[in-house]
Amino acid sequence: MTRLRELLFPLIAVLCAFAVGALVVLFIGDSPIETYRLLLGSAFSWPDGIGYTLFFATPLIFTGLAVAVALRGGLLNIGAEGQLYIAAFATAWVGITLSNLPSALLIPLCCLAGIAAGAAWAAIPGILKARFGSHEVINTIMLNFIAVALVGYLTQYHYRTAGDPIMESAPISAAAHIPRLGQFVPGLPARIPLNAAFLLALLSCWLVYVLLWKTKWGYEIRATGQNPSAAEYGGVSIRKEIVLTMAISGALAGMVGINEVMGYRYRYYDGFSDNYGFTGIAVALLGRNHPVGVIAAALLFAVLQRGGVPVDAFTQLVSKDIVLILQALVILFVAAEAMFRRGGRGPGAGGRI
Amino acid sequence: MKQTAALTIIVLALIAPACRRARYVEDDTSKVHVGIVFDIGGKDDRSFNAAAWRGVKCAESGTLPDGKTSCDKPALGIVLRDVEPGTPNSIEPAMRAFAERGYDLVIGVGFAQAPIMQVVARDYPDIHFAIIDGVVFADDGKTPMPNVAGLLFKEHEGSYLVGMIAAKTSRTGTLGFVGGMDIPLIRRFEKGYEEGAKAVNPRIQVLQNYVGVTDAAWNNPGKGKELSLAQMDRGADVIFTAAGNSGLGAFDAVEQAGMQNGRATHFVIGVDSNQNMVKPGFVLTSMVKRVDNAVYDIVKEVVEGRFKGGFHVYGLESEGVGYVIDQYNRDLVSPDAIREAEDARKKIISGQIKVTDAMAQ
Amino acid sequence: MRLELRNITKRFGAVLANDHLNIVIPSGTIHAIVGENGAGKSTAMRIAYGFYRADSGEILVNDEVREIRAPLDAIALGIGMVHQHFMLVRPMTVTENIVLGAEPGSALALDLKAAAARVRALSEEFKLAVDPDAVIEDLSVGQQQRVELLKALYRKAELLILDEPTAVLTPQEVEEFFAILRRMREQSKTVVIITHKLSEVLAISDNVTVMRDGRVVGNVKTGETDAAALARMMVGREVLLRVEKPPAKPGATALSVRGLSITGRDGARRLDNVSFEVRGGEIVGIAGVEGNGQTELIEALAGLLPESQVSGSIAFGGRDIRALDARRRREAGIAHVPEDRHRRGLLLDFSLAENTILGVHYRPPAVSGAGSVLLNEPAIRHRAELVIREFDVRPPNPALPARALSGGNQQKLIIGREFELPPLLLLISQPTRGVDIGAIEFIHRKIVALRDSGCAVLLVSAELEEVTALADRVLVLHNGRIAGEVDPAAVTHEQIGLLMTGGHA
Repeated sequence: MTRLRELLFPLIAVLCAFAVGALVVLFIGDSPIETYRLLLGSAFSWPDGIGYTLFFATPLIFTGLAVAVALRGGLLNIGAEGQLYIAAFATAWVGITLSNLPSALLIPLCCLAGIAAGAAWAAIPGILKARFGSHEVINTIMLNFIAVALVGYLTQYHYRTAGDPIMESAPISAAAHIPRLGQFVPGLPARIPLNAAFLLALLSCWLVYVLLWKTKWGYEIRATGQNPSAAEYGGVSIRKEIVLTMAISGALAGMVGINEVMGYRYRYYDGFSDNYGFTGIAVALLGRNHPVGVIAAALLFAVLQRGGVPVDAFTQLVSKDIVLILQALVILFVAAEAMFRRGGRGPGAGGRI
Repeated sequence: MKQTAALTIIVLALIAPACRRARYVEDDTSKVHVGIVFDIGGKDDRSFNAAAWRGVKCAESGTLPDGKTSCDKPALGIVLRDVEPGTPNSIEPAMRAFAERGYDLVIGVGFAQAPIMQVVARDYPDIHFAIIDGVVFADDGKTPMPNVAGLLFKEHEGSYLVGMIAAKTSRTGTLGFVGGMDIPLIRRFEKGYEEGAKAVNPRIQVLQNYVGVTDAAWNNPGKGKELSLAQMDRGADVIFTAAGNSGLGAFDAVEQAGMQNGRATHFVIGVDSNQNMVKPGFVLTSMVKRVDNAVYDIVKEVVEGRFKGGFHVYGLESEGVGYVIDQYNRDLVSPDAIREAEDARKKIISGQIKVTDAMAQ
Repeated sequence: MRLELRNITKRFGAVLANDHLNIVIPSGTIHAIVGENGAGKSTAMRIAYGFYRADSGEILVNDEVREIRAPLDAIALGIGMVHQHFMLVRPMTVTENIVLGAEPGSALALDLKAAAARVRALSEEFKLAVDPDAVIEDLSVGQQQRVELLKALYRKAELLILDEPTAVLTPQEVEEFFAILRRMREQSKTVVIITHKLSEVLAISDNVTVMRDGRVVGNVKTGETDAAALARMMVGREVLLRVEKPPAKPGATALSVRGLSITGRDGARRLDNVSFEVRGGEIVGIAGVEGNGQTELIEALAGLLPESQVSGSIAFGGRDIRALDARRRREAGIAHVPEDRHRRGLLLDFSLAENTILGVHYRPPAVSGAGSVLLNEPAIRHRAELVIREFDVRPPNPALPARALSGGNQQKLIIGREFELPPLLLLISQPTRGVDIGAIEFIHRKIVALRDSGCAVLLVSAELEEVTALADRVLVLHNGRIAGEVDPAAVTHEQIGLLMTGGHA
């Protein structure tokens, strides 16, 4: 029953957001039916719509999970953006540098490089917090700037193909390409960039679920997030948990690079991230910091992203901003719903039985 | 209270459409369909994307984007759709959205779309593509793809001329250049500008800075302003900017320096579109890149059935680049400077002056 | 002022907090309302003060039916309330706090001088000894409470409702406080005191209303009842108020503390050269006003303070444990029931089952499988069911979040978890704070039983009665030092109270 409500309320929030979005469309003089037909029709058409929607959802699942794990551990990781940049570059770097290796070695190495780089980059604010008590929000934000500038520098001056006007690295070895799902799914053309990283994202959700709720490590992470004093009392080293949680969070964010570098562009492309790290915060909140919720929220944002293009192109008056408005409305309604539930209880009845 | 507010919104939503209402009718398949995919900056950057937008709007309706003013060219009777992808990964689905629907011409704004267009154009050999500032090669990496037109400009030639005008105007003997993203294309502006300035005054100093090395460099007016102010501190009194949105910061910087005896103490030179009217009195001139003309021409080629793939290069000879003198800056530029610039223009066209192309190096 | 609640009913969702209450508070009396947590006594008084509105029923002030919609209505009628948690602005003066919300003079010209004069006059009238110009932060807890009283008196309160007023006071302060209440009665004010301490009810009140499960179960004159009868009414069954305990049979020394000093993060000395020992099979009680080093002592023994803050030696079972962290100490057999169950003792959003493995969550039987990584859910549920059964945790559902339990049941859960270790040494702080009488009795019996099984117990409690009833030896802590050791069987509360405040017994 409570499970059902957990699902139902966000769904109602989303429907409300779409209803208000329809009013906005009506207000500017366009047809809501046509707009939503384009938005949802193109997001769920086969194969392009579904293929792209899932492709767009992949990085958001990773960053949503990253933020969710951190929040479960009591940390707000605003640095997923920087972590995924560093990680994507590390993935590409291995793919370029070790280009002689066979696929069986190179693919795992590239993945590991990204995961390790993301984890290491996220561990820095973790260590700073554990050691000196400096707040992770500020440090992760700062490290975003450093990460973007650092990989920008490396791309620009060290790993770019001579004469290429685009800020991108040289291509990675073909041995580091991961298969597109078109190779396995009948009817899905190979040009659609949906790739094995999507399966990795689903696997990560399951792993995160097991980690958080089925292992002693997850118990310690959640306990630290819930009440660090009580966790400390229970013999948990808070400092260790902070660094560990940040590293796991960063590792998850780092997997975005696998989708982008090994599954789509086959090179590091500067500015590839559409604020995935920040959207991940909204995805985690919308998904109630639960892996299943994260998948659902990531899909929602992916639908909006995929559907936004044809809405922008083929409606007469609606621009892509309607997609931004919808995103904002969804977040607003979900936040309002959470507040409504918290405030809806009578005083005094607040939790005691 | 709450009900009233909700009711007001609903009523407004129902009344408002009375003014403007979109109609969805069957597409006229006999018309040529053109789709344009902007780059991350979007079509209102008052510069590069805006110029492309002017070109296609002109081809669609014979007017400027405001829908009223004539663009002095005939409408070509096309159906036009546009997308601002906003994110790099939405560019490919945007192009494919047009291609799937059988559009006759898909225009990509900006060289960054070249690798994507290469993939999409390969899948749709019967559809025409055009890319601004870029070239799309076939898989051999040498021959241009037959269904993709690369619209290129000799920015170095136009920059040479505004460099001369800048040098003629400067009283300090120091000029500034603010580039957006540090890439060869922008180096080409810088090099031409410097050569033009040195042609007038061999001892002139040209300060140069770039906003950044990533895409974000096109969209950071704050940093553009900081760099401009720093250059002004070091003596620069004319600043040429080739930095997309970031360039607008340079306009703020010279305006902030103010006027003396009715004349600005520092000037900025606009880029891509005619930006003379952005801060009248402070804009010495604009190095225009007639992306609008180039876009209009390519649409016309498709409409008239004479589309050709490969390089379409626009230089001084075809008025693809140049500088603008209009009512906003007529009093700012000396007749002497215009005379010398016009002289150089002829010499460049005839080949007597060779301007270095930084991209060819 | 005579106050009457007639047929008051109040529901919070599914919970019936007040069920057709009838309470009469005669003018010029001190009236006690007693009952266990959740019996509905605070709700009833909050309705009288206008915090809540009753679903049905009426309030009569001096035999007239009155509408009390908000505290302002209550104040206008002459009803004042002092809450358990003081509502004072700490950096402001006494007068400023008192006039807050009832500013004298016109809205523009705040006449603080006149206000201060009135505060002073009131203070003298009731012998409160409060300086109107003192800043709240500089006042002791007892003085702050008197400021709260003044706040109500300043607003011309004729009837004062006091919610658990003695919870924060030392025995001496309680005496002074009761003297003030008696003076107020002499001035024909009416006082309502909400409490769960039966000794105080008997000491101060004229009449008692006993509540249970939202209903009034008894209205009696104080002179005609006793503690056992009141407890029986509150709990609904016979309650043993005295702790039945055989003489201790102390065994080998379990804990030996020598020259223990603790420095706070701010560099201040919290504990100064403290030495004592606890032997197996005995309960050593630590008495003292809160904030005299008890918290730090227990945290240091439990391994929760950084080593750098602690000096001196702590030996357990003969070996120095200063280098051991909290986990290793628990492994060695030191259990710890913390003083603040919400801050330290529980993960409120975790299930009861998950809470019963806190501290042992990383080792079998809580984990199983290769490398002992995966939580062993059947074993955890089994442990939870055991604790729930042994310690009578209600409701007995291991899947509920700890937040859903009442304070007493939360405390039983923690105690059950720690007893399950099983411990060789139990550090237990404020074992019955905020716990119902019925549960107090239960907890006390469990502690004595643990002692009798040979475990060493170090007990810290702010309730003097609890310390003297349970402990076999009592150490009094004052200003971080041991002010004296007394035999609980042969000492009066006054003697201990003197030690607690720095005097000599």
